[in-house]
Amino acid sequence: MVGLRAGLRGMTNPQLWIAVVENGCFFALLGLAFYFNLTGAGFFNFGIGAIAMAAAFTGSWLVTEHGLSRPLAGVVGVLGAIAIAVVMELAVVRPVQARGEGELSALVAVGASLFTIIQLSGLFLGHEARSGQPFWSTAPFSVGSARVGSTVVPIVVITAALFTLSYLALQRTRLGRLTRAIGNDTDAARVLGLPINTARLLSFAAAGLIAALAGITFAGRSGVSPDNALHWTITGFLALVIGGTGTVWAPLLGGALLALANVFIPFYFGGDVLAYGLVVVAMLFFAFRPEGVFAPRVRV
Amino acid sequence: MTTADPLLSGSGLSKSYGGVHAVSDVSFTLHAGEVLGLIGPNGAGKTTLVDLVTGAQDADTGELVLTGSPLRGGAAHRAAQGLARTFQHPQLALDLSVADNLLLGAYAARHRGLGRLLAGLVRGILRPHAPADRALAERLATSVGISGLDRHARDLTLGEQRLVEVGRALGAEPCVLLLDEPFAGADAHGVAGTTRVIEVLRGAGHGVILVDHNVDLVTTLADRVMLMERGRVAFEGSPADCLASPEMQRVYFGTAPEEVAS
Repeated sequence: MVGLRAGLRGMTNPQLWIAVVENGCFFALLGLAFYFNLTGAGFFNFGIGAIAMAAAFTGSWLVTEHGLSRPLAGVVGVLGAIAIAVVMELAVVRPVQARGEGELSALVAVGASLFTIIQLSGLFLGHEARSGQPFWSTAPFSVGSARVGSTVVPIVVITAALFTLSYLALQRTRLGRLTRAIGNDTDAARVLGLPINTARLLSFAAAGLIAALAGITFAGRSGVSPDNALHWTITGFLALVIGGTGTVWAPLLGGALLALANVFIPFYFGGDVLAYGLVVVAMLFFAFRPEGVFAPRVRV
Repeated sequence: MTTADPLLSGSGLSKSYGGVHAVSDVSFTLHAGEVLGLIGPNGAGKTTLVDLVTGAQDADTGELVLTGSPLRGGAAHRAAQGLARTFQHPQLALDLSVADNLLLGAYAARHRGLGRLLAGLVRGILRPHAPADRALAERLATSVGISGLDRHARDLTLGEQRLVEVGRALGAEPCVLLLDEPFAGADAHGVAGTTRVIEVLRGAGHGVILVDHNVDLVTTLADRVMLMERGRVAFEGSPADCLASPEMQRVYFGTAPEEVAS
């Protein structure tokens, strides 16, 4: 009876659910960035977390060290992130794949890029954690006994907008159809004469944009340091693995499930258990549902 | 280029994988309004030859000429020059609908360049159902005889996937269409649809290279037949001559005609 009451206390705590929403949106956006790269280039871009971190960290550095306004710093952070993503495709992934060295070599090269971005960020902007400087925040307010922080509404709105736009762009436009066709079968797309390089470049740029907006907005709550890059990469990857790749909405579900674990595991079992809990959740999916909740349907 | 000049020609084409000579010193010509049939047993080099022509693989040696100009560059460049193909194993974008797959060939031909793609992105979000696209998809579907444009490609039978591939290739408005085993796994409806397309292209003065194991169909549809064996051309001529040739007997039955008679 006592255990049941303790259980209900967590599940009926609105503050925890607000944390689930905020975390879930962030994880989902990182997963969406992964999804764009996978759909347009057939490639897991493990640099996503580093791109999100670089955007947030640069924006914060510009505001705190150089007095730039938050919106302007946000624009610089976003453009910088898009530039990093584009350079990653042009200078790292494409040359490796063009040499016929395969996906593994490209993944290793992108992994190396992730650590390069972390080191360069630390070298030029410092290794210490900085407070986030979101370009848009709202005044905190209360809903019943729960307090809604300044970054909750922005990240929910940005998540809703980016998922809707992504759905429209991928499902209803010629570019979206081309991108999906290329991701489905790159070799066939090449023989058909589809603009593979352009579509790949745009998918990397879109992933960079999404990761940057996610990082800048979420850093307003969590702060940001170069060390976040690897954790954010793993989080985004897990959101995609759990949600699946069958639909553009899949990372949203993956992010939500991951956020539930992220919030309620520490509540019930203590903060030290979180890492193990996430490993268990990930292992369960890898073992029993490696294709995620929303898997692409295949005719058999 | 005069009317007597071939639409497409290849000379001395070779491709090896280590010690295996998949295609050895193969030359061919294809004239406007002609259907060139390519037959031969498995491993004869038919699909490799199609790959070399379309740029899916690079030839070790040899030259290709399309409408009087050397044909070089990768697959995308050759597609832009007017070559379109289907695949031995259908390669559709399985996440897309039949209509979307049919339109891919046309997109490849008409929507190159970053500016056009981005303009199309904005237009597509604001106005998702372009009537011109739908009309084109319906026209292509009618050409090959497939219905159910909103079905997912992954839900199609093998025969239907082959028809969609043919329609997709038509959308690129090719001057030469290379069909790689379009009749394999196709029902009577599929055979009729592909046959209709071949006849229409022939009538319009385009060239068709038809690869298939169905010797009856190939020799019925083709104007000229090339019999391949172990990467080489064993015989080239009219369908009737090919069927009667000792090479045909040897390649398919392992014996010369006189041995069969005895």
